[in-house]
Amino acid sequence: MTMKIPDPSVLVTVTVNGRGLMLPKGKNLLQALLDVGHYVPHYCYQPALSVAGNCRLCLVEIEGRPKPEISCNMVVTDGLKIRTDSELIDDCRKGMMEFLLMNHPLDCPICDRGGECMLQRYSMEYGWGTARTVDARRRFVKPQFDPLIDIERNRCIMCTRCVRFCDEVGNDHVMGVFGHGSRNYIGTFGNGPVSNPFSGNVIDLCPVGCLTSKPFRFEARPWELRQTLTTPRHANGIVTAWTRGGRLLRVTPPARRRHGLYTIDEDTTRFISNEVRFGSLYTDNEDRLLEPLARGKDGKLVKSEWEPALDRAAEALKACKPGEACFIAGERSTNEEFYLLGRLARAVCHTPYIDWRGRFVSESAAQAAGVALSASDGDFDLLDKKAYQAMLIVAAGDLYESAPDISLRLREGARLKRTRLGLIDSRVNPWLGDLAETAWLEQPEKIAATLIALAEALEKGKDPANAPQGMEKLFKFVTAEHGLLVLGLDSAGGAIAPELVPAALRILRALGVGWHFLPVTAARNAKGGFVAGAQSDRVPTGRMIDPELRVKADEIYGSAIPADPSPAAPGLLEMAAQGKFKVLVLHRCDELVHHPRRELIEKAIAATPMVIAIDVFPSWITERAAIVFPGSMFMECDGSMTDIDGTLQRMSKGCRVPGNAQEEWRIIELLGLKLGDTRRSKRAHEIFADLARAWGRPDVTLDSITLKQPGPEAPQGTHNYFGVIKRPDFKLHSSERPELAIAANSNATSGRSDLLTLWWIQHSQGPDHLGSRSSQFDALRPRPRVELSTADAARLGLKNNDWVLLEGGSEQPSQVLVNPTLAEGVVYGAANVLGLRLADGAGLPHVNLMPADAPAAEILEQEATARR
Amino acid sequence: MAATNNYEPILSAGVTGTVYSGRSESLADYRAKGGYDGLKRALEMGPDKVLDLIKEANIRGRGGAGFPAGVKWGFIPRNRERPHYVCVNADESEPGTFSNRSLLEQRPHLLIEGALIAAFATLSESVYVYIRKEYYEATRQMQRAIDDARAAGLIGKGILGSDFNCEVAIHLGAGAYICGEETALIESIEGKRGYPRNRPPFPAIQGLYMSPTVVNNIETLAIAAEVMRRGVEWFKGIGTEKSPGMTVYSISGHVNRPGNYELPLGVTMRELIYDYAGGIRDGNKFKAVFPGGSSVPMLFEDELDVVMDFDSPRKYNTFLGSTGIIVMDETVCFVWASLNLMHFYWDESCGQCTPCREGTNWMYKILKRLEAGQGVNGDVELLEDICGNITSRSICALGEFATGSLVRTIPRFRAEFQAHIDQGRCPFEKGYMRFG
Ligand SMILES: Cc1cc2nc3c(=O)[nH]c(=O)nc-3n(C[C@H](O)[C@H](O)[C@H](O)COP(=O)(O)O)c2cc1C
Ligand code: SF4
Ligand code: SF4
Ligand code: SF4
Ligand code: FES
Repeated sequence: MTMKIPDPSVLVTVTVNGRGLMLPKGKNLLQALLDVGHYVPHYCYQPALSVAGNCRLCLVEIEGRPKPEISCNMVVTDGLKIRTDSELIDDCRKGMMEFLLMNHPLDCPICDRGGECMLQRYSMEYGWGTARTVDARRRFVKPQFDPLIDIERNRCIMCTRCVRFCDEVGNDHVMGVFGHGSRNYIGTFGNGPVSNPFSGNVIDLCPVGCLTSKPFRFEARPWELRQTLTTPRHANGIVTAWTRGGRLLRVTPPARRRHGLYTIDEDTTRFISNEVRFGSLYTDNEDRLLEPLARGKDGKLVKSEWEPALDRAAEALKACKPGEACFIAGERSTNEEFYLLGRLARAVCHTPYIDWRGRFVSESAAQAAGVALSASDGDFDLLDKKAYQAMLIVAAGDLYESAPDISLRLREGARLKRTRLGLIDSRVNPWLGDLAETAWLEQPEKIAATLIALAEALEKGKDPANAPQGMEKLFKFVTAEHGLLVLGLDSAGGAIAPELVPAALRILRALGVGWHFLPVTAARNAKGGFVAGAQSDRVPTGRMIDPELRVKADEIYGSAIPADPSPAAPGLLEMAAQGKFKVLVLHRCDELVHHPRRELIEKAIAATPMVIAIDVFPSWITERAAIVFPGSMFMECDGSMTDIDGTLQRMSKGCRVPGNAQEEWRIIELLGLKLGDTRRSKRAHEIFADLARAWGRPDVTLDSITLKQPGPEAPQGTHNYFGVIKRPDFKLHSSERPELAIAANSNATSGRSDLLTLWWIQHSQGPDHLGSRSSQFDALRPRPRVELSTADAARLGLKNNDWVLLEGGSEQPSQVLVNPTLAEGVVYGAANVLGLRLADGAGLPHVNLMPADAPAAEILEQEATARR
Repeated sequence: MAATNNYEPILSAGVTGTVYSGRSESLADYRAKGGYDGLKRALEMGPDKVLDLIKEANIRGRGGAGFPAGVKWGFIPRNRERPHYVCVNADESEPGTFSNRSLLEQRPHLLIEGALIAAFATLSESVYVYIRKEYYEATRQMQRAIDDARAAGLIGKGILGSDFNCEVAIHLGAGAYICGEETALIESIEGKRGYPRNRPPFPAIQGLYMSPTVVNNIETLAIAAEVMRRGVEWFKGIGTEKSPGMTVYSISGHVNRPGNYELPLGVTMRELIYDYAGGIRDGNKFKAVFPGGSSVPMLFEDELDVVMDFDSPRKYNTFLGSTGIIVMDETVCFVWASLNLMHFYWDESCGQCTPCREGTNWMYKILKRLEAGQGVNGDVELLEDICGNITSRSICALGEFATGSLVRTIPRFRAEFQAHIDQGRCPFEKGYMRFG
C-alpha cells in the first residue's frame, strides 16, 4: 500500500464542534485530532497499523454528508466541518458500546486487564451504564496456543489489532480471524504459537483482556505496581518496568497517563521485542549474587564483607606496576560505568589496558568495529519525522535474530514507506527482504568486494552507465541523493569487519555528503564504550586521542593518562593468556560467558593471578575469579545508555538493590577511593554531569534525558497527546571518517571448496548471561538449527529437519533448514544455541557438515514441552 | 398493464424456466441473432466513444443500488499506469432473487459480450466472473461459453482482429452471501476473507490488487451488450425516463405463478403480483411484499400501486434492490418471517464490524425468544432501537439489510409483535421450519 507522507507543514482549518483547528493537511483525521488533544474514542485504529475501520467507535458527523463517517478512514482536508459532540455521535457511541458489551463476559474482577481496559474506560465515558440484554452470552472454549500469550476469546472485541500487528510489523502471518459473523474469533493457524520475536506486543495492543501475558497473569493489579521509565541493560530502547516490592513483574513500552494514572499505552509505536519484554524477567532468577565473594586460603570462593574484599582488590591493583593491570568492561556497562572504569584504569592505575569489545573474535575485528562506530552519524529512529530516501543495509539482516529491537527500528522506516530499502547480505531474511526494493545475495568473503565495486563505479559518477555489470539495480538504488548506510559489524564475530569497514567507508565517501552511516552491533552500549572513554585510544569525548585531546583527558580525569596504545579486548585476552597481567578486572562481561572463544578466555583467567569480577549472576567466570562484587539489576540502578544511533537512554532506579549488592558505579568508585582517587559521587547524576561536560553539553543532565512522562490527557490545544514523548534534541554523534586500513586477517578469504563458510550470530533468545535466565525464555529458546542454501543442501543430500553435526564447530547435533535466500557455500547458525567453539579468531571459520543421529526422543520431547 | 402487454423478452429471449432446462444458447445461435455485433461496433468506435454511449444510455446498475454503469465506468482513470480489472458479479445470493441464474445458464455469451464491452471501455484486459459455487450448471455453461469464445477469437489476444486483448476467467465463491458485496468480492478474488472494505478508496481507484476496478452485475452487462447492438434510442424507448430499460423480476412466495418475468421498468407492484404472477395463492389475502429481495423494507396492501422503477419505491423508504419480489399472504407471521431472515443475516454477516456482527446476533436472539413465546415487554422497542443503531453505521450495507424485515413492519404491525409477548406464544399456525 502506498502511503503518502503528508507534509506536516501545511496546516489547514478544520472546524470541530464549531471551533477552528489548524490540522496538517492530508493527515489521518483521527490521528490529527488526537495529536492536538481532541480525544475521539477508538479501538481498531492504531497509529502504527493499517486502518481497519471495524469498531465504528470513531464515527464523527460531517457537515454535508447524510451519514456519520469513521474518522480513522478520513484525511484532513481544507474546510472540513465535523462534530464529535452531537447527539447523533453520542448515540452512535452508546450503541457501539452496548453492542460490544452484549456478549462480553462479566469478568472484570478476574480479568488481568481490569484497571487499564479500554472497554471499561469507554463504558464509563460513552456507555449506557445499564444492560438491556437478557439473552445468554456467547461463549468460546479457551484454547492454548502460545507459551507466553494467554487468550480469552469471550473478551475479544474483534478489533484485529493483533492480527494486523503480526501481519504488518511481525511479518508473521500466523494470527487470523476464524469463523464468521458473530461467531468469528481470533486464533492462530494450526493453533501454533505466535512466533515472531515481537509477539508480546499484541498483549499491549489488545485494548481489552483477551490477549494477556502469561507470566504476568494474576500476579498483580496495575494500580498496585510501581512504574519506572527506564532502559533495559541487554537491549536498545525504552521501557516501563512495573515492579512491586522490588520485584519486576512486567516490562512494557513506555506507559502513558490517563486520568491521573499511568497505564499501558495501547497506541504505542515503540514496540519492544520479546527479548526485552520477557527476557528482562531474568531479574526474578534467584540464583543471584547478593554478597561479595573472595577466594579463601583453601582456594574456595566464600562470602565476604565489602571492606575486606575491596581492600584485597585494591591491594592487588596497587601492587601492579603500570601496565600490569587490565580492565575489560562488558558491552552492557552504562556510560557512567564505562567512564569510571576508563578513569580507574588510566588515571588511577596508570594502565592503558582497558577495552569493551569482548564480543569480537579477533583483534582486527574489534579494531574495525571501533573505527566504524566512530564514523557513525546516522539515525535509525525513522519512526520520528526524519526520513531517508534510501537505506542500504549491509550484512545486518541477522539483527532480526541477534538484536531484534534495532532491527525493528530499521524495518519500520521501510514499512511505513519513509525510506526505500536495499540489502547486501549473505542471508536475506524475508522479514526485511519482503520490503526490499533490491537485495543482493553475496558470500561473506565477497561482500566487501561488492561494496568496493559499487564505490569504484560511483567514483566515476552517478550516471547509470557506470553501473558494474549485473549490478544495475543496486547501482541505481545507491545513486539516491540522501540515504543511510547501515553496516552490520557482528556477523561471524566480526570476522569480515576488517575488510568490510574500509570498504564501507570508501563507498560512503563515494555516496556523497547526503548519505549517513550507521554501523550496528548487538553490543548494547557499544556507542557508550567509546564516547565514555572505555577504550585506550579514546577520551570521554568520544574522540580519537591526539596530543591536544590528551591534555583535555588529563583535565577531565585530573591526572595524566598513559600514552602507550592498547589492543582491544580480544588482544587483551590474548595478552592475559600469555600471563602478561597481574590483575584482570572483568566488569559485567556478559558477552564472554557464552563466547565461542571460551578456550582463550579460560586461559586468560587461568594465567592471571588475580581476577576481579563484577556481576549479578554467577557464571563459570565468577567461579574462577578471586574476588566477585555483586552488582545491580537494571531497575535498581541509575545511569545512562547510548543506543546504537547515539540516542541517550536513561536507566533509572525504581527499587533498592537487595542484599549486600551495590550499584556498579558505586563499586568502581569505592575501589577508586581505596586506590587514592578522590572521586565520591552521591548519585550517578554527578558522574553523568562530568561526562556531559566532557561532551561539551553541560546543559544535559541525567534527569533531562528521562523521557518526559506523558502529560495529562487530552490537553486542549497542545500537540501532545500521542506525541507526548519528548526528549531533548540531543544525540551523541562522533563522526570522524578516518582513512584507515585495518590489517586484514591473512586467511580471511581462504575458502576451501569442500568446506562451508560458517556465518554465525549470537541469538538474542539463545543462551545469554541475562536474558536466558528469565524463566520465560525456555519457551522462546530457539532450537539448534543450521541453515543451508538450496544448492548446498542438494549437493550434500540434506533436506529440512535432517540432523547434522558441525565438524570443527560444536558437539551438539542440529537440524537443517534449507534457506533459499542464503548465499551458496555458507552455513548459518547461532553460536550460543549451537554451543559453538572456535579455536582461534582468524577469519571466517570453515566447517564440514556431518550427518548425525537425532537426539533421543525424550530430549526432544522435553524441549518441546518447555516451548509449549 | 397496457403499456407492457406486448413486451417481448430481450435479455431472457429464449430462456425457459427458472431451473436449468438443459438448453444453453450456443455461440453459433448467439451469433446468428447478431451476437457479438455490439462488441464489433464497440471496437470500431474506440473506448472513449463507447463510454460516452453507455453514459448516454443511463443504464442503472441491476445489482441493487441502481448506480449508472456509465458513470461508474467513467471513474476509471483514462490511463494504463496500473492494470484495470472488470469483475462480473454473479454471486446472486439474495433471498428471493434468481434471475441471474437463468441468464448465466442459458445466455452465457450475452454476458461475455457485455463484460468484454465493459473491459474495452475501461481500458481493462482482464475480466473475472465471480459465480457463487452453488451455481454449478451456470459455471459449467459459462466455462463452455468462454472456451468457445476464446476458440473463436473473441477472448484472448487481438479480439476480432483489433488490438484489444482481454482474458476472461471464472472465480467461484465459497458460499458466502457477503461476497456479493463488491469490495468483499474483490477481497475474495484476491484470496482473502470476504471482508468488505471501507470506502474510500473506491474500487474505481483501488479495487482488485489495488488497481482500478469495475464491479457490475451480470444483468447490467447484458444490457450494455444489447445497447451496443441496438442503440441508445431503442433502449431509452423502454422503461421510464429516469429508469430506462428492462429488468428481470424474480417473483416468489405465495403467488400462483412464481417465476422470472422480464419487463420494462415502470410496471406497478400490483401488476406484477396480480397480472403476471397470477395473484395470491388459494384465494388468500395479500399481506406484504419485499419489492427487491429480502434486504429491503416491505410494501403493504395500500402501497401496491407503486411504480417499480429505481426511484418510486423510495417514497416508502424501500428500494427496487435486486428485483427479487417475495410475496407473503395472510398466513405469514411477521415475527416468524423476520426470524427466518434474521437467521440468514446473522449467519451471513461477515462479522467484521461491531454493529452488524453484534446487532444481527442480538436481534436473532430476541426474535427467537419472541417466536418461542418467551418475549418480554420492551423487546419490540428494543428491536427498533437496535435497527437504528445499525443503520448507516456499519461498513457495508449488509447491516442495514438485516433490518429490512423490521423497520417498516414494526410500526405498522406492532400489535402482531406485541401479541407474541402478551400471549406467550406465536398466534399463527405453522407447521414448517424451526430455527436455532
Ligand atoms: C451484502 C450485499 C450483497 C450483495 N450481493 C450482490 C449480488 O449477489 N449480486 C450483485 O450483482 N450485487 C450484489 N450486491 C451489490 C454489489 O455490492 C454492487 O453494488 C453491484 O455488484 C454493482 O453492480 P451494478 O452497478 O451493476 O448494479 C450486494 C451488496 C451487498 C451489500
Ligand atoms: S476485558 Fe475489560 S471489560 Fe472485559 S472483563 Fe476484562 S477488564 Fe472487564
Ligand atoms: S484479541 Fe484483542 S487485539 Fe485481537 S482482535 Fe481481539 S480484542 Fe482486538
Ligand atoms: S456490515 Fe456486516 S457484513 Fe458488512 S462489513 Fe460489517 S459485519 Fe461485515
Ligand atoms: S477506530 Fe475508526 S472504526 Fe475503529
